[in-house]
This record gives sequence, structure tokens and C-alpha cells, in this order.
Amino acid sequence: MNKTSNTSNYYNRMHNFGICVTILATIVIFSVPFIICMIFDIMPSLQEMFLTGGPILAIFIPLSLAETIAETPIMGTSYYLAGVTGNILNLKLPATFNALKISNVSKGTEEADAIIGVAVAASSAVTLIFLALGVVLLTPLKPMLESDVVTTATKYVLPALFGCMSIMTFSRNIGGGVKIYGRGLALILPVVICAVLFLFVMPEKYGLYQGVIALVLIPLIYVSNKILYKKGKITVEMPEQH
Amino acid sequence: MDFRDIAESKELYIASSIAIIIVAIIISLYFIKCYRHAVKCGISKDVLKKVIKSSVLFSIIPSLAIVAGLATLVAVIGFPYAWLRLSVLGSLAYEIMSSSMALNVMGVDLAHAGADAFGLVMWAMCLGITLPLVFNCFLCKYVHLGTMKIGAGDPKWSQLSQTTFMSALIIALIIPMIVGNLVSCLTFAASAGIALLLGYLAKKLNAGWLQGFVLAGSLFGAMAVSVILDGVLK
Repeated sequence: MNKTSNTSNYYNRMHNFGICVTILATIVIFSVPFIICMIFDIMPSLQEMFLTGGPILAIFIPLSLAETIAETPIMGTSYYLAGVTGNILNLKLPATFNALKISNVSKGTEEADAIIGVAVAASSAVTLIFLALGVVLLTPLKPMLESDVVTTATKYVLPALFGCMSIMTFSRNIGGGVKIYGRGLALILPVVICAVLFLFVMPEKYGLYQGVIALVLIPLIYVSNKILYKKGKITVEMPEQH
Repeated sequence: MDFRDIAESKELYIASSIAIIIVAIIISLYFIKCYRHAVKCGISKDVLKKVIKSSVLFSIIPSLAIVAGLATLVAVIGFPYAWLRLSVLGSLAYEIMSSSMALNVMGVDLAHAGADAFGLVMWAMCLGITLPLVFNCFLCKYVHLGTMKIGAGDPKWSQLSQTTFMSALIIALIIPMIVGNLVSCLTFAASAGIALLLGYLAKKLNAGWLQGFVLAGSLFGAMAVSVILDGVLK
């Protein structure tokens, strides 16, 4: 059996596993309200569920679809686990970037996919353990968690994470010994578009539509990269050329 | 029985604990499968250890932020369901929003909410974010395998095109952090600066182990900077 079919088998196996895991997690998540409502006889009517769930679904389905399309190519088969455990932007995505950087493997390979899986699982386990400890220790920890220092610091978790992640993402060395020169040129227009959208067009709603904005940027950056690569403005150096 | 009785009931503790144990099993299975496959692909155990150590280290601070969110959510929906919601598909902002919407539909506030209101709050939190997850799980495979075929004929273009998705996502996310407010912008800059410094030191001192601390170090350092700047600039 050649390497391509082995790789294809691996991806098929992992995707099937991911789908099973997601279905199992969905059943588990729905079971809790179902069981509790049955035990205490407090099952809401379908009309009430529709009235509360409807507007939330109307917002989250398109956003979620946009995020899936933007994030899946980066996280690969680990996206299922990231989806189930949540906190993708503040934990799973940084874990992915960090793992790729440390291991120095090429993106889009089977090796990268497995390493990302290890990192996402490790990161998910830490959150699960901390939340369990939080439940046990919340009462004594509450003054510390509600202190000014912690409240202020948690407000800036995302810029504190993404500063480092931007360096990892936009550096010349993209992993696996591959170096890209001139890539910044393709990013000027997307940066300007996002800044205009955030500052002038939709400052209040920008956060809500970030997934959709990323989805629109994908073809824009793709085409810019393609044009600049063809013209020789962006060059790629493979490991064997070093 | 009122809202609080059910929110802190023994039955809900048991149901939430079982659900979280199942999620923990899922995480473990993923870990074992991916670890074994990475070893099979020829990734050394040292590299894997470095990845695990670094992922665990950097995850501590964002996890503490989530625990701080738990303190807020517990006040609304009690310990067990807050614990479950933040362990699975967690998002504090979303959970608060959906619980408020559910209480609004019933025309009650938290202080006067009855047992039936808790049932609706649970379903509201469940429906909105879990159903999109179900749709997504059938989309992932096609998106992932489809995008891997891009640039298949030209290895250089293939490598470049793979960066498109990360670049798009990062740009969409970082713009509000950079142009939003000064403290956020300077925190972002501090994180980037510390990452560059640690990367430089790792190279200069030939200390490969330091690479594993770049993300955790930048995160911790930049958050310390944010606390100082927030105090000074506001």
C-alpha cells in the first residue's frame, strides 16, 4: 500500500472517529437537561424552546459554519475535539499554532495533524482539571478570582495570546524548514479592510461576525498570494534549497 | 421547588459529573490515538513531550480565566450546570446571554424564577450552540480534505496556500485588539515583543527547550504588562 492511500486511510479513520465523538457528545449534552426536566417534571413546551432557542440558533448557525470553514483547514481532524470542548480561540487555536511551531513539521501533513491532536487534547485536559478544581475550591478562591488584578488580566488574555501567535503565524519560517519571503504584501489589503470594518462600518457587531469576516478574507488572501507568487513577489524556499 | 433547588440538586450534580467524565474519556481517546499515530509517523517522543509540556503550561492561564468565568456563571445557574457548560462547548458570554433570553421569555428575573424557568434555561443553553456543532461535524471532513488538495501539483504553492487560512483568521481576530484600545494594543505588542525576545534567546543560546516556553512566557509577561498599563493609563 503506498503512502498516499495510508494517509487517506488515516484521515478517513480520524474523521469518522471525530464524527462519532461529536454525535456522542451531543447526545450527552442533550441528555442532561432532558433527564433533569423529566425527574423534576419541568420540561418546557416546544413553543418556549423555539422562542428562546430560535434567535440564538439564527445567530449561531451561520457564525458557526463560517468558523468551521475558516478553522478546520488549520486544526484538521482535531476540530471535532475542539468543537466539543469549546474555547477554540483562546485555547485550542493557540495550542495548534504552538504545537506546529515547536515540532517544526509542515502544515497539512499527517504528522502535523497528529501533533495538533496531542496538543488540543492536552490543552482540553488542563481546562477540564482546572474547572473541576474550580468547583471544589471556588468558595475559598472567590476573593482571588474577583480581585482587580485577576479581573484586569483576564480582560486582556486575547491580546496577550495573539501577539505571540501573530509572530508565529507571520514569521518567514512556516515549519518543516519551509521559508516564505514577501508574504506581508498579500496581507495589506485584508488588514485595511478589517480596520475599516471595525472602526467605521460595524464597530459594535465586528466581534459577532469575525468568523464571517475571516471567511471573506480567505479567497482574498488566496488570490493575492497566487498573483504575487506568480509574479515572483512572494517566494518560497523549500528545505532542500537551504 | 424553586430555581435554586434544582440548580443545586444532587441529581444535577450526578448528571453533570457523568457527562464530564464522558468528555474526559473522549479527550483521553483522542490523546492516545494522536500520540500513537505521531510516534508511528516518526515524531520523536522528546518532541511530543515538549509539545505536551508547552500546551499544558500555556493552557493554565487561559483556564484560570475560564475558572474566573465559572464564578460569574455559578451565581446565575448554580455549580453543576455552570461546571458542565464551561467544560463542554464553554463560552461565558454565550451562556449568560442565553440564560437571560430564557428568563425574558418567561417574564421573570433570577430572584423570582421558579423550577420551570431552570428547565428552560438549560434547554436554551443547550440548543443554540449544540445544534450548530452537529451540522459542523458533517462539514469538517469535506472542508479539511478539500483544502488539502489545493496546490497539489506545485509543492511551493501548496505550502504558501496552506498559510491562507491561518492568515485570514488571525487578521480578522487581531484588528480589534490592535486598533480597539491602547492597553489592548500595547498588551498585544508586549506579547509579540516577548515572543521575539525568547525566540532570539533560544537561538542565540542554542537552548531549544526555551521554544517550549515562548507562548506561556509571552502570555504571562503580556498579562502582567496589561495590569500595569491598565492602572497607569486609566
